[in-house]
Parts: sequence; C-alpha cells; structure tokens
Amino acid sequence: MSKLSLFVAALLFAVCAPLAAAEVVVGTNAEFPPFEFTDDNNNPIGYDMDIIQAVADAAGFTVRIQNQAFDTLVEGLESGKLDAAISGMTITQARLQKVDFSQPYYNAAQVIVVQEGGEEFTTIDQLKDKIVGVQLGTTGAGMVETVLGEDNANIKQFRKYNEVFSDLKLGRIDAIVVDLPVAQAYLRRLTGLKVSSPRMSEEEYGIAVRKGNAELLQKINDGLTAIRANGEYDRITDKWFQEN
Amino acid sequence: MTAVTRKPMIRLENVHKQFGPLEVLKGVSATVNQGEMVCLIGSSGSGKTTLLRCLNLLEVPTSGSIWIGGMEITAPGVSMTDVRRETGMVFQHFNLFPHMSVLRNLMLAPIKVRGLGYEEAEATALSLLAKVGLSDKADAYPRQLSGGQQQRVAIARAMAMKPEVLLFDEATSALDPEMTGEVLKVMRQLSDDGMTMMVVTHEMAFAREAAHRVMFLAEGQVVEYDTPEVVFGNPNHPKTRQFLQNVLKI
Amino acid sequence: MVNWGLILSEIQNGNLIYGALYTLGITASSVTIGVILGLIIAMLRLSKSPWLRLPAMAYVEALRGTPMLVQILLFYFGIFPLLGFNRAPAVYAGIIAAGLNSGAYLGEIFRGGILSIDKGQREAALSLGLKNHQVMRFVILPQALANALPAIGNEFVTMIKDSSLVSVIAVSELTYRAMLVAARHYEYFTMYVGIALIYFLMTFTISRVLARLEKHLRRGHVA
Repeated sequence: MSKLSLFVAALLFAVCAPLAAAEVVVGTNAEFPPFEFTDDNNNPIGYDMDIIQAVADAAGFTVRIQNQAFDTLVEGLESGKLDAAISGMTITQARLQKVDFSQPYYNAAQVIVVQEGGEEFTTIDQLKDKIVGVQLGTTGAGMVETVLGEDNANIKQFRKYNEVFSDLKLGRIDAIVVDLPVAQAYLRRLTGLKVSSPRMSEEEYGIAVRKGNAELLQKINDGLTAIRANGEYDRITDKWFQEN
Repeated sequence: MTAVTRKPMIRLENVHKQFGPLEVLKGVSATVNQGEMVCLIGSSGSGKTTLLRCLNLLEVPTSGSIWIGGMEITAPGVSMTDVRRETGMVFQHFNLFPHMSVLRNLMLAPIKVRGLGYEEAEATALSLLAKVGLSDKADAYPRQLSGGQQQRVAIARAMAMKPEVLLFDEATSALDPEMTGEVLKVMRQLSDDGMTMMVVTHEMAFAREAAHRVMFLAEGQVVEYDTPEVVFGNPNHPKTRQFLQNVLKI
Repeated sequence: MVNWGLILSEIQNGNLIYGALYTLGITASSVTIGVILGLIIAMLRLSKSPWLRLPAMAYVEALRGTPMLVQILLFYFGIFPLLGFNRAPAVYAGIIAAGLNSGAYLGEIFRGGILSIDKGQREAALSLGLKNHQVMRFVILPQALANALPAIGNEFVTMIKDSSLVSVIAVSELTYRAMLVAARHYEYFTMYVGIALIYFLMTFTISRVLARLEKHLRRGHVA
C-alpha cells in the first residue's frame, strides 16, 4: 500500500467514523466555569464535561463535544446538528417547549455581581434603572428582561461571559446577573468584584435532548441514576465544588 | 496692427531648461514688445512649448533670467501666483473646468485670486463672452460646447484675469479645420486690441498673416526671429528653409 | 419553519424598526467619518513629504489588513478603556471603529479619484494664478468627489451590512435585537430570515436610489 492510499484510507475513515459509530454529539458553551470552560489546548473541560462522560460510560455510548455559542444550543438540537446539550442549562418552561430535559443533575441559583466599593444590590428589583450585563439566552438574561423590559437598552447582552465581566470591571455596567458557581469561578480570577445578593431563583440544570428523542433521554436518565448510585456523581461534584 | 510699441514686455536672457539629462532649451535670449504677437514655430521637440511654459513658470528655467513687464520672474522669492496672474495661458486641450458652467469658469480666478466681488466678476465675464461671441452659452457646461467654442471660452477665461501677456500653446491643434478659423479670428482680434501674445502654432498661414514677428526654434535655440516677411519669404538660415520646405509640403 | 407571526409582531412593536433605524444611523455616522477621514488620508498620501505620506500609508494598510470585527473589539475592550472612556456608550466605539475602517477604504478611492483628474486641469488652474490649495479645493476635489460618488454609495451599502458586526459589543442595532428575540423565543431561523429580509430591503432600496441619483447627476453634467 502506497503512502498516498494509506492517507486516503485514513481520511475516509476520519470522515466516515462519526457516521459509523453510535456517537452522540453534545453541544456546550465552554465559557461557563466551572461547568464548562477550555483548558490551554482549547479542549472543553469542567463539571458538565465530567458528568456527561460518566453518564455516557455508564449508559454505553460515546460522546463528541461540540463547543458553540450558548444561544445557539437549542436551535442546534432542533435542527439535528446536536443530539444533546449540557451547558449549565436551567430547566425552564420556555425551553421545555422546544426540547426535552433529563432529570436535574445540579441545583443552581442566580446572583448579582457588582464592583467592590460600588453600589450593591440584593434583589433583582433594585436593578430596575441600572445598566445590567448578562449572557445572551441565559436564565439571568430572562430574569433581567422581566424586570427591566425586554427591549430595554440598559440590558447589555453579550455572547461571552468574558465580555460581560470585562464590562463590569471597566465600570460600563452596574451589575451582572449570573449563575452562582460561574460567578464564583470568575471571582477567583478577577479581583475587585463581589457577589452582592443572596441566592435568587433557585433552579435546576438538566441535560437537553431533541424533543421526542425518548431513546437517548432514557439512556441519559439511566446513566445519571447509575452514577448517583455508584458514587461517581459525588466524586465529580467534590472535584469541582469542594472549595464551596 | 497698430498698438505695437517699442516698450519691451517680455525679455529672456540666456534661458536654459534641462529635464534630467536632456537639455531642451539651450540659452534662449529674446525680447517681445508690448502689443506684439509673436508666433513660435519649429518641429516638435524644438523646445517651443517648454519656452512658453517657462513664461508662466509651469516650468522653472534651470538657469537664465526672464522679465515680464518690469518684474524678473526668475528672481528668488518671486511668488509664482503673482507671475501667473499676469500671464494667461490657453492650452491645446482647452482644459475648461467640466464641473462649472461657462460663466463660473470665467469667474473663478477673478474672485479667488483677484478678490473681485461676484457682480463685478460676472459683468467682466459676460462682456468677455460677448467678445468671443458666446453670450448665449454663459450657463452651458463645457461638454455641451464644440471644440472651437470651448477654446474661445478658454481664451475668455484667460482674459478674465486681465493679464499683461497671453500665451497660446498649440491652441488650434486639437480642432477640426472649420473650428480652427473661429479661434484664430478671436486671436487676431485680441492682437488688434493690443494684447501681447506668444503663440506656439503649426498654422503657418496664420503666422504669416497675423504675427508681428515669427520666432523659429530648433534644438532648443532661436534660429531665426524676424518679421513674417523675412522668415517666410527670405529666411537667413538653412535650417529655417529646410523646416519651411517640410511643413509647407504637407 | 419560519414563524412569520413573530417577525411581524417584532416589526409592529417597533423593535426591529428601531433596530433598522439604528443600523442606518450607525452606517450614516461611520460613513460620514469615513468620508472626512478618507479625504485627509488621500491628501496625506499624495503629499510630497514622506513624514505625512508614510504614516497615512501605514494606516491604510493596517486597517485594510485586519478584520473589522477585530477592530471593533479592539476599540471597545482595548482603546476606549485605555483612553478612560469607560462609560462611553458602546455605540460610539462601534461608530468610530467602523468610521476609521471606512476612512481607509475611502482614502484609497479618493486618492485614485484625484489622480484620475487630467493634469491639464491643474495646469489650467495654476496658470490662472490659483494657489495649490485653491486648485485642490475648487478644481480637483469637486471633480474627484463627483467621480467617487458611486464608490461612496457603495461604501454606504457595504456598511449597512458590516455594521451588524457591532452587535458583538451589545449595540442595539438590527442584528443584536434579532439575536435577543431569537434567544428569548428559541426562534433562530425565523429571526435571522427576518433580518436578512430587512437588510436586503435596505440595501436594495438604497442601491436603487443611489443609482438613480447618479444618473441624475450625470445628466446634470451633460445636460
């Protein structure tokens, strides 16, 4: 076999392998530490990544992670580009109309982050006349839109949390509404910011699948049940959240 | 042909002009009197256009001196714009400003350079247009005019600055024969009114009939400079004879 | 597939209309900056002094050689904070970044336009005693700009499309508003089809108007 035909064979394999194997394409938005973010080699890592891997191992399927913007995950599921999505995604009524969710795997809450020494807010209603930063399509964005009005220009919605936190550091916005573990992760990296509110809007994260994909949903739920039973779930939770 | 005096209007003293390694003018000395029309003739490359362009400093002589009126325009520190407003120029391709009406073409420089008021500039412009027979074209744009009409506007534009000297650079070369006549007629009329004119031309008949004097240039030097009767009828120099033979044959 | 009801309701409640107006406003502002800057750049590039010419050249190369998205991000997250404009609305950063970008392109167009004017025009103006700057202002520039009008119109149409890039710094123009609605209702396909149509409507209409205007101007020149 010549080198060229070897190369062609390898290429064909590379192209066809995903089609052949029963691979589950899982979308995430790796900018949500510690749930999902990227290591130095741009590989997605974090709590959610470990959870989905453990679930897949337990339920007997393989996963391929697809990193993309958070506000495109639901659409990705609907259009069939993604089979599942795990991305610190809160189970909401609105989302349930578009996708199906697994049993909850994490209990989260929204908090308000502000600059140290600046004005502090303890409830979402206090943000009414403030400039508030959120990530596009998140639960936090929804909460802020409810209070400030959907098309209020004082809500600054970015596609990346990096940019939201950067704006707060620069004093361009007065506050951020964000999931607590994410806030804590960013606060470890950025100085001069603090959480000013208690836990608001208790919520649950779930793994999303395309509406009606009962087979995959069953596998994922079985996997989640299995790793809760065998201690793997606790091990992963300790690994990422033990400081808290 | 009445207005010619003995008072010199243009004086050139040993004017040289070099473009890189090429010496185009090799020491030209001559005088043109007030009210005189001098036709410059010579084959292409003889330096006649360059000489003309030295007179309003579109080309700056490499050495030598030029006086116009009483002013030495080659002296250090002389403002080019001061020189140029005393010397009007008419170009082979008219060079009217296409984005302005005929009237505006005539008014631009008097207002911006001479500082004339709008009404005064307009009055001058209209009277000059009447003089070149184009009163009805004041509001037209250059592209709407024939070549001959455009060149008459260009002459009026140069006149609007009330220059002491008018320079013509092959003003009829780009025109059809039937339009050449109307332009030459205007030029002759200007000369009759006493304007000092330097005319680079290929129109030998015009030079012969209308010029006070004819200057024949060859290889950057004045070969012959005399009345048309002498230059055309009885030239002193064999080069002149040769040139005239070649031109008149065509 | 496409939820036309949602598009209509977002048009009726003014959301997408304001977005489109915002887009036009950003476009008009940045192209205005671009025209002024372009004129300056063109003059500098035509200058005899290398101290003026070379920086202008470097400017043009730098702005044409980098993506506008990067320029917008650089301005908003880098240069504005550095200059202390922390609370300046993001739209200013967007307009200035887009204007600087536009200036580089238009500068080259104007330079070409100026160079394309026959040198006889300059000589005729000089021979009438006009000073260099007067020649430029009254004779060369009006002609060069008239020749460049289609290019300016083209830049305007391009900028309507490219201004969507400022959505990344949360400026509430058309694309940003559509992104928000899409995220709120999980209707991505719908909203992007909706604004694609609105963008097309804007660029198509403006192209037609400009084409007619150009024809009119040309006729004015001849007639």
